[in-house]
Amino acid sequence: MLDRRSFVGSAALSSLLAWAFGSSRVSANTQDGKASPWSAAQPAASTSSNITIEPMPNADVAGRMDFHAGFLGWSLNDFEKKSSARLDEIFQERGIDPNTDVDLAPLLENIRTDPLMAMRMRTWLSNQELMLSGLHAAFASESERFFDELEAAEAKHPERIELNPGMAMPAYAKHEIHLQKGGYVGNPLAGYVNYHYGNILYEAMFGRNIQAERIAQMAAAVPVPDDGKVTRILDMGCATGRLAFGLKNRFPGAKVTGIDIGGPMVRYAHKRALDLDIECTFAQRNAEATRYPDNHFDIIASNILHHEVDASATDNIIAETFRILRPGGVFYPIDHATGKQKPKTTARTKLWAFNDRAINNEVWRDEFEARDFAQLIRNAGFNVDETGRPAVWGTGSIKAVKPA
Amino acid sequence: MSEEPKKRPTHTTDFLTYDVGRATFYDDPAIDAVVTTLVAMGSEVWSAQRRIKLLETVLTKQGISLDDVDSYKPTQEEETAWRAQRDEFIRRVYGALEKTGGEHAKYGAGMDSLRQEG
Repeated sequence: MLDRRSFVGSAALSSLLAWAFGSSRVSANTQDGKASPWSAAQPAASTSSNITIEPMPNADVAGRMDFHAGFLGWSLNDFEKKSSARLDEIFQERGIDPNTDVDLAPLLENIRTDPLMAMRMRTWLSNQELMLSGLHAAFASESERFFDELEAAEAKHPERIELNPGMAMPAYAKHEIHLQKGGYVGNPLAGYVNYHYGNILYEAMFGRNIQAERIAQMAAAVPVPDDGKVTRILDMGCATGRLAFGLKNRFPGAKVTGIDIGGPMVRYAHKRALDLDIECTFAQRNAEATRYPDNHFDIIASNILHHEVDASATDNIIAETFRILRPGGVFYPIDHATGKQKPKTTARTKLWAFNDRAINNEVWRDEFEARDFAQLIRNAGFNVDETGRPAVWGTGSIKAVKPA
Repeated sequence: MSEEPKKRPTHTTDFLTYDVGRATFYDDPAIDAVVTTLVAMGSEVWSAQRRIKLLETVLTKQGISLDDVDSYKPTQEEETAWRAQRDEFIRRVYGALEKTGGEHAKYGAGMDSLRQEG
């Protein structure tokens, strides 16, 4: 049996998670019950009891994906421990303290040619490609059925979805992040693939899918404006809609809207909302230029959006957020820790970050983490508080308020 | 004449294909392909085992003896269909071996691109 507990306690967890997930999505400490200082006076989040898991297309696909989840779990636990120890040896053989920040470039060849390290990276990559290509093929092979689902949802509640075919698509959004074929914009069933990929990752990490609990924690952590008014909420970069659902559960009286640049993602989020009987609105829009009116939203939240866009887009998104958030409104981005919140950089964390880029195709992570996200938000005119507890373990902590 | 499948809006755009698939970790790229095949084989074997468990559970619940499974003779149609599925299985598992070397392998793909970026 895989020893997940000891893995979760390992020193390299933060960056390893980031590598494995392309982000620091997973909480290693989800059940400790400690309340965020920002959420202490807020209503408790709804439970996730109404969040059901969507099944795989058929038993064969479910079997293959069950294997890939198990294999990934083994890779990130047992194999990880062995390869981390070997990595330390490689550094120490060259007189390098693995707990210090070093230039990795001259060492990459030593790492790549080490049999254990090569096998660790090779098997991870093989599994990732087989998993993502397998999901892609599974949904493509029964595409009519899934198109039917999407179209039926759009016919049932056309007022809750906005699609903008032909909208300008920035290059940064076109990458196949995590090796997902077609990325988020090029595969019409990308939402299905991304949804199941997320479930597999959580299964791999914890032996069960704790994603719903984690999303509920995120929604619970979102701060309420000081005046208590919450009528319009935006989930920026909503992907399959998970955070939007959590926000609607927590703020049932508010209008919750999710936007994403990927049409297939928005379509899936809308279908999933109807499946779950959650009333959210989804729109295919670019977070850099949302076209919402000035001072429109009370809360704008996001879940791992910002490290998936380039620096220029990050700047534009912050400016746009400032424009559409009303005075006194709260911006709550959940993403990788940067600036003074960033974990200590060591040789080991640098390798996992490198792998995240090199074999997980996390194109913009380095660029995002090299900047101080909180300071960028502060520079745009927000009052920023970085002292709160992160929404979930492994993420940065930023509460930004637009001055009243 | 077969009916043309109806064209449905996809709401997609063009995308940038990753090159990580060409990454090799061994001087002989055949080893990379073999490793991928081994992982794929594991996926197939476990999937089959899981399905058998599922089938046996369903059959037993319906009062069917598993002895009937061992003595069953497939029909010609079943043989034909299963043969096609077997061939698809082989392509899925061993397809990686067709990508050994040549244009499919680029020494240090992904890693090299990062080095160039500094």
